[in-house]
Amino acid sequence: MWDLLEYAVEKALKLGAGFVEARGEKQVTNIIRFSNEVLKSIESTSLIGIGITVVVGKSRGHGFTGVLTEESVEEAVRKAIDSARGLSEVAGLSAEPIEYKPKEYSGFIPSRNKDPEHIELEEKIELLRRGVDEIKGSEGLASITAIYAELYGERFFLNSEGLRRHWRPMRNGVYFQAVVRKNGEIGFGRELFASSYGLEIYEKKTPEEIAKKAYTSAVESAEAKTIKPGKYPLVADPTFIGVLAHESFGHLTEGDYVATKASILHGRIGEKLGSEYATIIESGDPVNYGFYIPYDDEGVATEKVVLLDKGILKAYLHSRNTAKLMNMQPTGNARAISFMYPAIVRMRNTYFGPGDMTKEELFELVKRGVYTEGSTGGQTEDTGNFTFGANRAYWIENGEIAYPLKGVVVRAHILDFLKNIIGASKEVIVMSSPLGGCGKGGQGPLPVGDGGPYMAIKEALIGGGV
Amino acid sequence: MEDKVSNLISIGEKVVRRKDEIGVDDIEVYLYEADTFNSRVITNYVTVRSGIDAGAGIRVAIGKKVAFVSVSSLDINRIIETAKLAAKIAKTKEEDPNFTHLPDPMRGYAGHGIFDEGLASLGSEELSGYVSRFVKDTKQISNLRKMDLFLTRANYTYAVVNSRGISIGDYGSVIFVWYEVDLEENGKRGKGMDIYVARKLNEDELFSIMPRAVEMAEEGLKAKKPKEPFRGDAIIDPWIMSSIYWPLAYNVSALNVQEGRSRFIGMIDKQVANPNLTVLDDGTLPEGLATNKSDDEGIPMQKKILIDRGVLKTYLYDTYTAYRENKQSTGNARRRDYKSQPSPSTTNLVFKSTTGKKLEDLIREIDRGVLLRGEAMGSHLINPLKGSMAITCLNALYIEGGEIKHPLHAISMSADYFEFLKNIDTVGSDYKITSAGKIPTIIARNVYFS
Repeated sequence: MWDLLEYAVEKALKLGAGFVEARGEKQVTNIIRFSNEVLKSIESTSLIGIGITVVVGKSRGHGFTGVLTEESVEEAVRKAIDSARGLSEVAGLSAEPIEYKPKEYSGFIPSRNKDPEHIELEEKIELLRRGVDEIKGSEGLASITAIYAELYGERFFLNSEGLRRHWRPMRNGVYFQAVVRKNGEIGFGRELFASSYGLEIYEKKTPEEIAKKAYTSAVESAEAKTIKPGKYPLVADPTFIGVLAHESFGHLTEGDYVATKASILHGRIGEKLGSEYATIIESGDPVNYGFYIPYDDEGVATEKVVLLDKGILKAYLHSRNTAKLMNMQPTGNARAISFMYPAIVRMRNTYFGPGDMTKEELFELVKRGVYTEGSTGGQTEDTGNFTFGANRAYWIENGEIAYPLKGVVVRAHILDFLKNIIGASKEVIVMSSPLGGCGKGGQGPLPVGDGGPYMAIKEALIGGGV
Repeated sequence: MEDKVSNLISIGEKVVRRKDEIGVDDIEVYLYEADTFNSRVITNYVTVRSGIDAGAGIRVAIGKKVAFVSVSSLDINRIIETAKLAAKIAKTKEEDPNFTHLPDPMRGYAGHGIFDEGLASLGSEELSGYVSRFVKDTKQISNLRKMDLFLTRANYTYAVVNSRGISIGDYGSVIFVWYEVDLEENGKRGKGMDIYVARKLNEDELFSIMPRAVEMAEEGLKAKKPKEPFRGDAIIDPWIMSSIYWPLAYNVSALNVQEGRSRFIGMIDKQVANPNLTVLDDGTLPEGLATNKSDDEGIPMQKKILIDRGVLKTYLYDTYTAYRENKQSTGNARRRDYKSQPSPSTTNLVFKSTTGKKLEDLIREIDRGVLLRGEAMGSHLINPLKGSMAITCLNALYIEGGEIKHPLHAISMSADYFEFLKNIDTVGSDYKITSAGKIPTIIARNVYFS
């Protein structure tokens, strides 16, 4: 692999590129699926290839190939250079990288005692089956879907400054979905877990427990009540709040959106945007169950970036290019989903920082309102308005969970939401997801992590519940 | 392109001939190659990429044990090596009692979809030229805050070869352009977007998305908030309709029905939608983006009535689900890409127009309601089983007394999806070709706006 990367860099420089990055990638993805009690499928994908990004004049082009020969690599180099030249006329902002003095990654590295790369599929099938066995035959259960997914491999990086990196991305996780029919009602529940730990993590996070949660959620969903749309106090769990940190705040801090003034956070460093409980951090460090990323796809060691510190905007996320455009430091946020794509500014693990309360104290604080657990996904406008579905939701009465709610969607403007945070727990959970990730610029799903503490919000607009 | 198809078929046949060495009873090879150019521009920040995305998806069967693997390569040796991994995986599996066998050939391959040699032969210089024109023209807009442009042209070729006698392939070329502008004036913002997607390039139509998006954004600058939530009628444009059709596709999938995950279990010949709604699934529609000679497991693409005057007529089958019920596949095996195995889904949905009415006529029919157009947020949050739906539209227009009154700020439409299907009582005549199929503007009655 290194020979071809060296060949690519040399070739591109000869053909007139001012700066070159060559990335090599080997990645295996395995997905095991149970439908009800039947092992339905095992899908295995193996990806190998080389991607070359060049800077020619002001613009940047990317070429790629899955054929590992000098001839194909040369063709990919030519495509990169041609496409950069084709757009040099309209590229208003320079594509050049800022100077980077290499550092080493110094964050947390999850254990990989039982590395999925070296564990037979049978053991992973058994792991998933344990979850299925736990809930099969349960009352009213109409359907179970269970998924184990993993990715592992190697990333190789070389640029025309001679910077060389090699690291091994890895993620694995499980997902359970249950459908229940009860008294003519349909209930739908799901639960997941994923991390960059080896398979030893399932001794602590057992598939039985995760499957059971999916089933009980489905039962609750069949009994769930409707909520009248309107403003309510809210308690959000780490997985719900994490999606907000990522989707509705993190994207607004991405250097490409900021440098082009597309983000509403442009020019607002130092401004107070949230309450004292609103701290948002972005790191390649997975914290606990996030996705481990020591280096980004420009070879920059990932930094821990405090974006929002007790409500005050402190930083943006950068690639070497956006850092140059804004005269800031690169943060190690240039990522590509595969060799087929150029690295663009992306998140890694995005999470709210801890507070000083317990989960119970937050419920007490809110007394009456809505509690959301997990997210079914959502969307954010670049104005800062967002809509997110809750995976599970409950009505809180007298500071305790009273009954499940159906179809709860939370809507707000992120800056209003941040100002309305009135409390956070000490405990912080950051988590990846087995199959999902972030989508941007046609590159998705890119593995990321998100999370935070349990948080209390003075009021938020709750919709849905049809 | 014909040569490329023959080449893929020949690779497939060489692999299939070595089935005994691989050690399986049956084998299927799906080969895919796409020469892709794509560019994204955020105002004046440009990224571009170009290359060939190619690979093979291999399905093997040993008795009733089935496995699927894929590899990002068209190299025969690597495909065989990967197929051997599939054989190994199949052996570790238990039998799937619902599996009969891999697809048998079926007669009557459909014709090509529209193929535009001119579109297929555009080089990166010409495609970059299109991007440049969008960027330059957008720069002229005085109150521009942001532009977002995404342009992709893909020339694809695929082949499916299996050891039961299937050997077929096809090709096509598609251009997709997403153009969005965000304007700012006196502290107010307005956003507009439009999409161009086609198998045949028409430059006038391509560039017409720009003024349409700008007009929408300008209207957005004058948007008002709705005074209070209300019940009313929704006119839904083809793009929004294309983002909320998926729960219908989900529920008519024979796999979801057989596995207990569909709301349409036992609903064949029963009313699931309004009597004014007739929907076809047509994999042979020449201009359809999903049209090919065969589906993704080599079964001829077909045209079938899915919903006839509100009555569900069939589920959509691939061979796995069809053989399980002793039926023929409806040609609905679809894959996301070569990395995924086929499962039943829609091809091109065609909503039959019940009236010859265009958008202006539909507006006149609305007493109080909203025209939803452009982009819908939250469409993927619809619960396909429970039916809860709440989407937010950024480019809506408020209608009263059959007239457009004013643009609306982000407005949400909530409804139960299954009631919603029953409340679509008018299907207009102005279609768009979208990734969902041939989709018109429709009216859905009695939804909730907030």
